[in-house]
Formats: sequence, C-alpha cells, structure tokens
Amino acid sequence: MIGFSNMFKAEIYKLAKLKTLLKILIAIVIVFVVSTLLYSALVNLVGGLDMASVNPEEEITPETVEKAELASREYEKIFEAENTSVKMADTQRYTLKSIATLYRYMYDNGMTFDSYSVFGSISSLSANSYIIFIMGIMSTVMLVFASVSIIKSIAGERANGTLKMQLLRPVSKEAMLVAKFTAVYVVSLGIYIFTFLLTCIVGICAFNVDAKQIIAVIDATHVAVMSPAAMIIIYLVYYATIIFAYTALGTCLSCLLKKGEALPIVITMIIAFLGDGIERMLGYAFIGYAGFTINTSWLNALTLQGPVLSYMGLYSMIPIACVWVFGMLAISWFTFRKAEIHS
Amino acid sequence: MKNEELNLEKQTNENFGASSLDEAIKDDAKKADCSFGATIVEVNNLSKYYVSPIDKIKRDYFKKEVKQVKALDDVSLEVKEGEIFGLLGANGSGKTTLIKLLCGLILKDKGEIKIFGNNIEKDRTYLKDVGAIVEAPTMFKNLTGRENLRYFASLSGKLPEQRIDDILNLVGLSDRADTKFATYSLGMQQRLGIAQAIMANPKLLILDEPINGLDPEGIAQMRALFQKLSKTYGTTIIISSHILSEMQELCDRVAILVSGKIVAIKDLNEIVSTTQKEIAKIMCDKPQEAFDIISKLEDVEVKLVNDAVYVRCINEKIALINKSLIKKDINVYSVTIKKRTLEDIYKELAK
Repeated sequence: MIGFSNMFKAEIYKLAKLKTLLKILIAIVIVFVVSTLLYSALVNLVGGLDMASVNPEEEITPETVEKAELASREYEKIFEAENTSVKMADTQRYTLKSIATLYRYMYDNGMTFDSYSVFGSISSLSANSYIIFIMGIMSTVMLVFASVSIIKSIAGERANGTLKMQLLRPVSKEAMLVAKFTAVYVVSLGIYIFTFLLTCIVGICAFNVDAKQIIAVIDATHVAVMSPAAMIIIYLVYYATIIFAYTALGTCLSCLLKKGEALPIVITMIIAFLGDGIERMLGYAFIGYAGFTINTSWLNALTLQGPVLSYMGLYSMIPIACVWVFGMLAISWFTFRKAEIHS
Repeated sequence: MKNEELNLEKQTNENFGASSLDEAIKDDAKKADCSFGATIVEVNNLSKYYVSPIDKIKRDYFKKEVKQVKALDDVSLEVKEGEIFGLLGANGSGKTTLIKLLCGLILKDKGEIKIFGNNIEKDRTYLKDVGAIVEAPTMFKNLTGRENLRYFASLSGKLPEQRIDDILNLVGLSDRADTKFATYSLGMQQRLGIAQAIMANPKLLILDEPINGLDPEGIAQMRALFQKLSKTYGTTIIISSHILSEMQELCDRVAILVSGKIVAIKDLNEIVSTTQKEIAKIMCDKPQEAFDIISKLEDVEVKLVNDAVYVRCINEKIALINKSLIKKDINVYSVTIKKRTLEDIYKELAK
C-alpha cells in the first residue's frame, strides 16, 4: 500500500497536535476519579449487592455449595416459568449459576476464600470488583473515543475538504484507510492499556485486591484458576476486541454514509448505549448471540458483571466479534476504494 | 529549485508584472524564446458523466439508458514539459472536473489520462511529482499554518523544516505561520494552499483558480512565482482561472471549454500575431477628411464616430494609414491600437 507509513505517522502527528490525546487523557482521568469515588461511596454506603446471599467470608462447606446450587436451580425455574428476558432477572440468573459453579469448583479442589481472591463475575460489591466496575466504564469511554475519532477522521474530513487535500498526496486510498484506522486504534488501545494499569495499581493499593491467584468464572459453567497476568491478558484481549470492533463500526459507517459525521456518530452511540437493551427486548437468543452489541453492555459495569455477558462466553464472543469486524472492514475497503471525492 | 532565488519578497513592487520597461522587454523575449520539452500530460477522449447512484447501477449493471449530466465529453489535450497551460471556461464548463480527474479524485467514465507516461488509474505514485490545489484549499482549522504544512509534507516523505520556513516566507505567510488556519482570511488560505502545492518541488503543478481571493499585489506575486517556476525550473503548470487578463499574461497555451467540450486550444503568441487584424482609434484635426482617405484603402474597415476614426486592419496597414494622412497634411494626434485579447477570442468561441 503506497504511503501507509507516511500516512500513519501523519495521523499520529495530527492527533497529537489537535490536542486530541491531551483531551481524552483529561477526560479519562476525570471519569476515573469520579468512578473511583462513586465506587467507594457505594462500598461504604450501600454495602453489598450480593445476589447470592452467601457471605464470601464463610468457609466453603458442602452446605454452602448445596445452598448456592439450590438457589440457582430455584431461580432457573422461576426464570423459565415467567419467560422473562428482563436484564436484571437474566443477570441474577447468571450470577447465581456462576456462584454455584464457582463454589462447587472451589469445594471440589479444596480452596478457601482465605487463600484465593475471587476476580470474576460474582455480583458483590467488594474491593475485588473495583477493577470490573472501573474498566467497564472506561471501556465505554474508550469505545466512544475510538469510534468518534475514526468517524471524524474519515467522514468529518470528507465533509470539510481535508480528505481531498490528503488524496492529492502520493498515498493510495487503501493505505489511507488502513493508516487512519490503525492510528486511531493504536492510540485508543494505548490509552486503554494505560487506564487498565492505573486501575490495577489503584485497586491493589487502595482496595486490597489480592493478586496472588485469581479464580475466574469464564462463563456460567466453566471456572479456571489463572495467574493475575493471565487474567489481565484476558481482560485486555476482551476490551481490545471491543475497541477494535467499534473502530471498525465507525470506519464502516463513515465509508457508507457520505453526508458528514453526524449520522455515523448518532448510529454508533445508539448501538453502543441502546443496542444491548434492544437485543434483549427482542428476546430471541440467536439475536443476542449474533448481534453486534452483545459484547458492549455498559450497564454490565454498573451491575458488576464481568466482561463476559450473561449468555455469551469469552471464547464464543471473540469469533462473533471477528465475523462482524471482518464484514465491516470489507465493506469499508470496497466502498472507500471506489469513492469519489468531490469536495 | 533554490529558495533564495525564489525569494520574491526582496524584489520591489516595480519588478512585478510589466510595470517596468526592461521587465516587459525581458518577458516578451522569454515568451518568444520558449521551447517546451516532452509531453507530460496526455488526455485522450476523456468523458465524465454525473448520474445518481441508482441510475449508475441501472447503467452499469443493467445497461439501461439513464439521465446523466455530461461534465466532460470526449476531451483530448496534451501539455508539454515546462509550459503553462490554461483552462478557460464558464462555470460548469468542466474545468474543475478535468482537474479532479487529473488529480485522481474522481473516476473517469471513458478515455485515458497519462501523466509522466503512466496511466494514472493504475498507479498513484505520479502524485509524488505533482502539486495541486483543487477548488478552495481546505486544511485543518485547529492546526497552525506551519503544522498544516508539516502534516501534508509528511504525506510525501520527509521535508526539512527549513524548506517549510522558506515556503512560508515565499508566499508571504511567515508572520502568520503559527496562528491557526481558522483565523486566516481567504487570501491567506489560498496562499497556504499554494505553499502546500509547491513545497515538495513538483514537476507538475495543477492549480484550480489559485488566485481567488488574493489582492492585486498577491496576484502579481503569484504570477511572478508561477512564471519563475515554469521558465527557470521547467515546472509544468496547468492552471484554471476566470481572470482572462491574468491568463493572457501567464499562459503559453489555453484550452477553452464549453459545456464539457474543448472548443479550441490556442497558443497565446498567435493572438498578438501581426497577421491578425487589429482595431485602431485615430484622433486627428480633420476627422472627416481622414475618414474619406482611409475608406479608399483596400482591406481596411473604417468608421467615424464622434470625431474619432476607427479602423480595423492588419498591423502593417496602420503604418500605411498614418503615412497617407500625413501626406494630405492631416495632423495625427494619436493612434491607439486595441490589441486582440484572450477575452475577444473567448467571447467568439464561447458563443
């Protein structure tokens, strides 16, 4: 692709000089501080939102396990009888099932809560949930930043005429598209990784997150014992995928809709903030599995769900995201190559 | 191209254009002496139609006849190395469409464009030797002039910082280089656009109305710059403008477009050829007698209007008329020759 490296460097220069990086870092710090204060307030004032009604300080006895499994089975019956897809009910169903699975695993493997920290999708407000809470909010901020940045870089610049000026340079359209996408994604990912590390540091220092060993509930039925490094990598991969997917969405909408940046931004925000709710309202599981918004429920952070949504495992989320991303990038590629720039 | 040689700001105003006699003589000598190199730009049977997206699908995939606007219709031209080639035409005649096609911003429907011998549809690398302004030069509003130039320079590869400083000096924007583009006037935006077009030492400059918004001094400066680029450094320039007097001063050849077609390609030296007929206004002490004498001469049209005698004939006949009047003791106060201009030709052809 002719001119890719020149275009990439130029885009990074532009983002730096437009003070885009500075503005987003300031926004990130503000959101981070506000979220941390909110979390602290909830911990102190609200107490716990432990939906399992099991005290995590207790030892895991056969009775504890039986109690958790019973709670899960009973709730499952209620859930199926009422045929509801209301979000909170579904979340509770998933939570109870996860807790039961986790307790069974820990009991079968002789683990106690003293030795291990739980860093997964148990919906209890505790120090260990701090990272889930903050990163859920931060990932929403980053996906908004990534998608809006790429939309401004393509649709916005086409509307104001600077795209025309760029195309007067020896840069192929393919290289231009890939360079813009890469620059926005690299910057977004860089800021996200910085935020993630900051969150981990604050979590460990201020909220006593035990980093010795982490048990994670990968989905409602699978539990794994992982090192903190492995867990961090999983979270990073998950959120990096979401940001990648939204950058691809912004790219696709910018290439398809040629009337400026407003419409692509509006559509992206609807998908990001309302799409998950719309999918759940429709109530059919296949829409949830196949829908694009399945991985991006910002509400999950506030209800302390982990990055894996209730009926979607991490290992099935990534392939679905890949299909969407591939499709959107293919559409972008073919439409941008043939686009005529009139202004 | 050495920057100090192009530093026009050191020249006085008297050196711009033809306001000094020596410069006018020099300019004429240069124009007469011009010889151009190989063909740099070759356009063959180029056509471009504008259709709605739905009609485009009907036309391309279902081969249906659809309503389409002919922006360019079977246009062919060649531009030689080192010449300044003008594009003239009314609004909507196809000048900007042709320029956009040359720059690869839009796709042709029929025909072929070759620049530096290569078909531009297959390869955009020709743009590394091309500088262009297409319509109004729009840049990043929240970047300064200097930052904008750095951004666009980096798309062509690395340019030394000194080059950017020199170019800003050349176009008269040194004082405003570090203020945001959003604060620039139209003329300043145009100057910055010209700066970005020339900063990478292009072999071919494609300029779409580059002097829009410039004040008279700015127009003269840019004219001198373009002439220097062409005559001294061999830069080929394709330029479109509505200002016919400027085009006449600047261009070696012009193509006149009407409704998407080229109706004529004229060498501007031919316009002032002595074989062309000119109009002269003669003021004398006996206008009626003068009229009678001139009427008897062959190949001369004559009219008497308010004590002024108007004649239309070739340049050589003017001397004969003058001699005839003096022989008959008629005192000639003035002979004012109205030279045939590009505007005259354009009006004739654009009807």
